[in-house]
Amino acid sequence: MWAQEGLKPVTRTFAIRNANIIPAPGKKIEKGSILIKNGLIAAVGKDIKIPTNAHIIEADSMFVYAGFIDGFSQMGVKEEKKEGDTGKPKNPGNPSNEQAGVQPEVSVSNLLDNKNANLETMRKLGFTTAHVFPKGRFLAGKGALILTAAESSDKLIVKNESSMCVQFIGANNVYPANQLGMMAKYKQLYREASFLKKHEEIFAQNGNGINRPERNRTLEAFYPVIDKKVPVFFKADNLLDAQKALELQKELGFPLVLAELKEGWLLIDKLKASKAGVFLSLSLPEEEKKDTTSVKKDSVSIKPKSLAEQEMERLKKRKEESVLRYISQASTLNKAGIKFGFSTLGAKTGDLRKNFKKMMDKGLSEEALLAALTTHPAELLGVSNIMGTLETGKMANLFVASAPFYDEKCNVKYVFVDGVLYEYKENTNTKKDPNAKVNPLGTWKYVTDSPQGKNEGKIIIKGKEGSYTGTMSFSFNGQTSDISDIKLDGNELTFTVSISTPDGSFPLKVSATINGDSISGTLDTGRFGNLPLTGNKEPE
Amino acid sequence: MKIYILFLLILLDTALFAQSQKGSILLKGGNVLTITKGNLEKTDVLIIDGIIKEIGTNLTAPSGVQVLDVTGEYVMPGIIDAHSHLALEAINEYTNPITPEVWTGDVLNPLDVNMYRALAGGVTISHAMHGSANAIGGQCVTIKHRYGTTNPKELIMEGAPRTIKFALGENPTRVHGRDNNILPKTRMGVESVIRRAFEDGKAYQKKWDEYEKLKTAYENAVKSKKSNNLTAPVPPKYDLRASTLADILAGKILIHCHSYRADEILMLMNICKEYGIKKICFQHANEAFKVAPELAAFGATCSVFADWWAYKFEVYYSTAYNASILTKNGVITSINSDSEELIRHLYHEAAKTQKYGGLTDEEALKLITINPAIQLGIDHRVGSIEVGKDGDIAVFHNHPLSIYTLPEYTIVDGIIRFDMRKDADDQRILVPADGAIEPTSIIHQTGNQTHQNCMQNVEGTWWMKEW
Repeated sequence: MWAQEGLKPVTRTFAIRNANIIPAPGKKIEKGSILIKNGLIAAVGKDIKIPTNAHIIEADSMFVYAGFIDGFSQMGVKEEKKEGDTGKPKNPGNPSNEQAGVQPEVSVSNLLDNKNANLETMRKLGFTTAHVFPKGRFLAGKGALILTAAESSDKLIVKNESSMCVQFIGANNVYPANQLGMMAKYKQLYREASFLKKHEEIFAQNGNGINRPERNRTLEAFYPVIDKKVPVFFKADNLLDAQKALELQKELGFPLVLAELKEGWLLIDKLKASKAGVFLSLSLPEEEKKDTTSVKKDSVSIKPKSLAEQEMERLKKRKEESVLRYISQASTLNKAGIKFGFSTLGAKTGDLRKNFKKMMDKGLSEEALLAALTTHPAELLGVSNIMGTLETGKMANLFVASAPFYDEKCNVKYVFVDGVLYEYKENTNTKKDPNAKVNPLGTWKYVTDSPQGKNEGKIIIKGKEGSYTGTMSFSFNGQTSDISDIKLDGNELTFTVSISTPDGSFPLKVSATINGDSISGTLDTGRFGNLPLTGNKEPE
Repeated sequence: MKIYILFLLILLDTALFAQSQKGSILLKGGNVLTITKGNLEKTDVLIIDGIIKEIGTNLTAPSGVQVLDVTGEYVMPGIIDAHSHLALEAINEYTNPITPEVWTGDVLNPLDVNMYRALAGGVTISHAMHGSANAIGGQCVTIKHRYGTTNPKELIMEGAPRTIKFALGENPTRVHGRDNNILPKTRMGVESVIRRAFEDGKAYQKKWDEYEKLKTAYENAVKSKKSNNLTAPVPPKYDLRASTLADILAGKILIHCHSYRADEILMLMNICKEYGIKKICFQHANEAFKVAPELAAFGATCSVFADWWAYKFEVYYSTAYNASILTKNGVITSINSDSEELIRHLYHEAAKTQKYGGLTDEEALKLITINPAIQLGIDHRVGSIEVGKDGDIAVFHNHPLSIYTLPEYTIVDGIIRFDMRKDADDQRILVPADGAIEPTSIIHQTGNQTHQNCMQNVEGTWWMKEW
């Protein structure tokens, strides 16, 4: 029954017992049970009949939710091998489609990798389904609805070629290089496709007397959009891109979905008028931590603030107000009656659960938040009849957690994807103990996981208590850097390390718990989020 | 408490949205410089719902209309800049010598704080242009400085004619010819590129005209049920680029051409004559004074700098008397900025023509009001203070052509968009939620500055980023 072991499951019947079941946002069944049979939910309720061949999961005091649905991301999508931009283009005004980023015909179904680490990371957070698209540029290609786990890459797909995906990313020194060219190119292709489609229809009826239509795969990709059978997803992570997408929709009339929306509170009227589908970004800005200690100091001193200090205060205040608006986006749109899901494209996985809580703190109800993770995206993606809630007949996509999903202590224990069980043991050695005695000295081989891929290296700690020194190496940039501020508090080890990149040097913080020869914790990359870090000490 | 603040913020956002509509205001007792109908001392101007309703003395405001006392101040039409790159996300689609299909109206950025600074210089309208990297560049858009809106389309001046950017000389020959080794590499090449494009436009129009004839014939046959042996005609390939070129030839789009040398100015006028294009405005046109009579005879107009030259070889042979010479020869001339800095003091730029050329007050002020309005095809709406025109006004303390002048109020469609008394330091509409706040410091930057100008966005010309 554990798919990770690669064996055929003994049974495909599961029962989860005595749990707090949340079958749909706003509903709760205490001490309830769920019966899963052959990939579908067979029964949900307080007293259900459980067959003898069922594998029983005792879930006392745990919480069961329908699996989360991600509206727009690239988890599980392979990087496309590019030939490489070699030097100056010969004819920048008429480049290849690949150079131009104009590849609407590319289907993500050919680019999936069911072994991709991101799928596992998102599964652990409770996501069972995602709408993903190719890692292209402007007209990136056709998206598909996939599960976050399956036996093979092909088997991930639930709904193939279910969208056209567009991002305002200009080509490198060839047409269209920026938003000017991209807007014109989109209109050109759309209208040209409409005409070609008409030509094909006329030719099919009676080809006598007219030239045959010439096949054009790029334009063909627009046909289902022109027929309004497939929506166009635009990455709309800033106000101007969102409005450009809305303008194109107004002019050309296609079904529109705005994804990764961040500044939606300025677009409420336009969103309603356009009837566009909406997926809000799950990436939220950092809030300034209120420094209470310095306030006390200031109230004692009577030094008047300089003009520069006053201006700094005003700027800080405006930034705080702005941060508040970004974090309150979901709450604001919900109160305005706009139905939305979420997209995780730009979010750091380590911050997701924290962000759930942040949004709730700013007025988004638990019910609305859960709806945006389950029922609303199911509706927006056209799969409400098979997922989004825990109801008989729907796909067995769900997860069981130790606490409510927005709680920072929430640990996902079991995830069902398409009725296949994935179990996650809690890391028992992550408990901090200030009284433990551990030895941090030596060479620790570590691994960190991020959506960009794995990074590994060695952490070497030398010296003695009170004056530790050391280095940390990184495989992603091949650097080894000195580490500083090394502190050991019981079994908790913390230090800072600086990595240098073309954009400058970044300070990173490591905080991890040592348990004998194993170490586990997080690598805090600042504004790029927290990455989980695990490792083992190398023998001397 | 946080929820309360959130509620207030939502109210603030909706208030900003309401602001972009038309307003009513009564300006009392100012020295009104009408531009077209002389100067009127101690005269009132009443604007209702964004339109100038009455000009006279002892006017009373209907109830609810704000009264602004401008006794002793100078009331002139809002300044119009015929060459600007404000409020645009992107300026140059520099990847092809011909790109008439792109449109700056697609990439408007209402959050550009430079628009506010332009308002602080009395400018109410600017011509948001494509850059000068291409021989035939993109279509441009005339915008009103309705600063405060977050909706790009609200900046567009409704009813303003379509315009397009052409460019001659060193810029297109360098970007395409020298950097990428494609046509054009010389001024001859620029001419040939434009002629080829016009021929393409002509051919495209011809194909579609023929198709329309066939289509009408087919539809008539269907109606009279005689269509048995006929197939519906297939439309020609749709081409937004060629169709725009056809529109230029049909006179539907006004050409504004970046040019410097007298020979290339004459060249383009000859092409226009050949193709039946009647309206053209030459931008910069530093050597236009050499061909002023020819320009006047054709009816071409010019939009020039007051005194910028020698930054490239093609701009060496210039004079600060350019605008005056053109004016005295009967060429409708305007003074522009092509710069987010210069736009803030266009009134001083206009005043320079009084020293260099001895233009009268009215002639000088026309350079930044009615003349650019004519060049943009909006002179029936703005450019002077007349009943029926838009309520776009700039109020100055001291005469606008005086060195002691100070812009006080700038009004767009009857709404005060700049008020010197309420000029807060931080005029940003949208404040980013990430990024550190740098403490204020004065840094003298040279070299790598990214001005908003004609050559912005053009890679590979880092060493010549200006103009």
